[in-house]
Amino acid sequence: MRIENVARQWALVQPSAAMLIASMVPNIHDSQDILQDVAEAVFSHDFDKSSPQSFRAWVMGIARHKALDFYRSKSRKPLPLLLDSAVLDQLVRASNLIVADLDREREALEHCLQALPEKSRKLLTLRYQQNHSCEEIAAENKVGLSAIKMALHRLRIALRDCLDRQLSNEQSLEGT
Amino acid sequence: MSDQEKNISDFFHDQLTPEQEKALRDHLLADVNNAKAFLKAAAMHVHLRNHFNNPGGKSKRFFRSPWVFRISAISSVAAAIAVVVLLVLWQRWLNTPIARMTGAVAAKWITPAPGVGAMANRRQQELAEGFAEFTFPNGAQVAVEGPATFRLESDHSIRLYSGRLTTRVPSSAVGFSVDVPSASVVDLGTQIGVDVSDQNSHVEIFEGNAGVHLANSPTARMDRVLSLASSVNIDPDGNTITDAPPEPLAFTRVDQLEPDDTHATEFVDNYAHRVLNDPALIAYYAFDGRDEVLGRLTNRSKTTAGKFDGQISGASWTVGPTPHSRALAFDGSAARVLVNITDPAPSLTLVARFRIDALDKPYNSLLMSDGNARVDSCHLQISNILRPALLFSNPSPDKPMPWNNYHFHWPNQLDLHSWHFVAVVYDTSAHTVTAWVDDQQVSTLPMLDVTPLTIGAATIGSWTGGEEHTSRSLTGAISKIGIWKRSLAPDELHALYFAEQSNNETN
Repeated sequence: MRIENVARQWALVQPSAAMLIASMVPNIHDSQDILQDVAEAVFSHDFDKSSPQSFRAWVMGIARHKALDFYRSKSRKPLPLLLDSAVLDQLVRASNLIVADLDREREALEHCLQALPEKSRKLLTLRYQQNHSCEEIAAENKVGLSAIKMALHRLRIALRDCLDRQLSNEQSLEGT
Repeated sequence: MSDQEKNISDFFHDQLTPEQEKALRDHLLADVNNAKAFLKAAAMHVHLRNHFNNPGGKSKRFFRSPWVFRISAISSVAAAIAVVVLLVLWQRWLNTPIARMTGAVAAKWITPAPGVGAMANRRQQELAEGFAEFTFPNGAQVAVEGPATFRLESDHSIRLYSGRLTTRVPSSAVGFSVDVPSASVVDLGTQIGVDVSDQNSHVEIFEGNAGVHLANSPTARMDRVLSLASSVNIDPDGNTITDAPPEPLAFTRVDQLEPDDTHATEFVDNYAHRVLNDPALIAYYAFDGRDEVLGRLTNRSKTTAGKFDGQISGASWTVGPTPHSRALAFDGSAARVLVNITDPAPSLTLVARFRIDALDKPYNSLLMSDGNARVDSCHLQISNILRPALLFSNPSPDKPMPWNNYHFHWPNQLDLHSWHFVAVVYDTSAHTVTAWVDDQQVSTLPMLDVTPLTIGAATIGSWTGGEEHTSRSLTGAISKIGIWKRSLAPDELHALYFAEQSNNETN
């Protein structure tokens, strides 16, 4: 496969790989680092076209191994229960069933975020841009930890609903 | 919030207890739909992370895959129609919007170009001078510096035929590639600079790492992975990659082109452009993160690139005028940077940005030629005899006083711990020496000896005067020094000052 093709294929699979890694490694910075390691591995090795697995499966396999390597190098403790092979198989299976185009989701999310009140945007900025923990946000705003967690949870649910609505509207328009 | 929702929420906040972990594991294994919901929650975190770390990367959906046509056994009429159709499709393909132009500074185009804020297509573009910034749907940003010829190839690649560009690639765009005539440079979530000339393609890594794949490589693998602060040259035939010293080419980084602040951007980048391209610039020390990584002060002047780098001794890196900028701290002891700037200057302009933390000595050295004997040497200091002054001196062996001293009293109170911008213009044509402090022309004094100067072997910070003991020192920090072998005009100094200020505001 030519490098241009690798780059094109990678661009298609990358959002799924990012999603899988995020489901295995919750820390934002750690998961970003792992994604870069995956990209380096993908572009540093030849994908064997004769292999029965698809390019996507190959990349997802690398993502899975890189995330596991991360845990092994970080800690000598046993791997978290969520990273046993049965769970990972289930996650990879589920990722194949998610047909949603993650790029479209990202675009739809832009519209949804614009509709959020300033206070909510500020909360998301603290969490996702400045990478503050929930404890830090709670302390800074002098509110309880559970209130922050709940607020973030509700925000994500609201965004997911908005996002699904946007995508279904788009699909219905495409269908006309 | 249900227990499972709470477990998922706590997982993404990295706060799962062992009991919750076990419950979540069972939940995921119980039904693949539960795993799907979990992945969707993960996707939401990725989206939010990407959005808030890449607010400029607002995306639009574009065509992604190249189309392929196969025409077989068709009549000549049908063939003619097919050709027309192909041409139409080809034009449509060329006109497909690829990335948004999110900034332009002093840009002069040879080919038609979109305005700032408009989408740019796949057509080849030629930028005669200035800068243009493009933001791709996946969040990758590219700043092209003219003269350059390039094409936005796809939503994850740009082709650079000649000229120079820099990238900023967030995690959402890892794998973005810069295709040059002899290779593909795959950006693995970094900031890189690429310069294509007839001789070679030069690749330099500012942050993270990137891979290089040669055009003639037999495999699809990267032929070389480059890490932080490394740089290579690729031969024009795409056969070899050779290590190259990080050239002080002074790439203009995407960070310096703030897309939404046109005034500040114009100043900053006109400044950068002028500074780096002025052939009269003898030496320019940016005191930035690259210098910190390299452990030396790199001379960024384009005309004297590779010469006059500074050797740091005892000075430590600290925060500069902005939280993101860097500076060298001098602690009043022997901390210094040794330079040897051998180019003669018929006229001379010295510019420095610095902070003074203590004025407990009568003389506080900024930049001083070594020794006391050389007739064409010079010194720039802050004196504090009766009150603070900017002091510029050069030897005068024929006079009763051994030094021509030009004292420029500080116009207002010298604020300790604050950043200041000073310039001294030594003009042998006008026979004057002029000083500027923080955009204020302090005064112009008649030149006592009309002598061309050469900085030569010199010290930034602590100065020994060629003797064993330290006779001058500095307690403070320096974030910029520029030296021109001509007298800069007032409007140029004004622009330099405002460039520094707007750089602060931009940051």
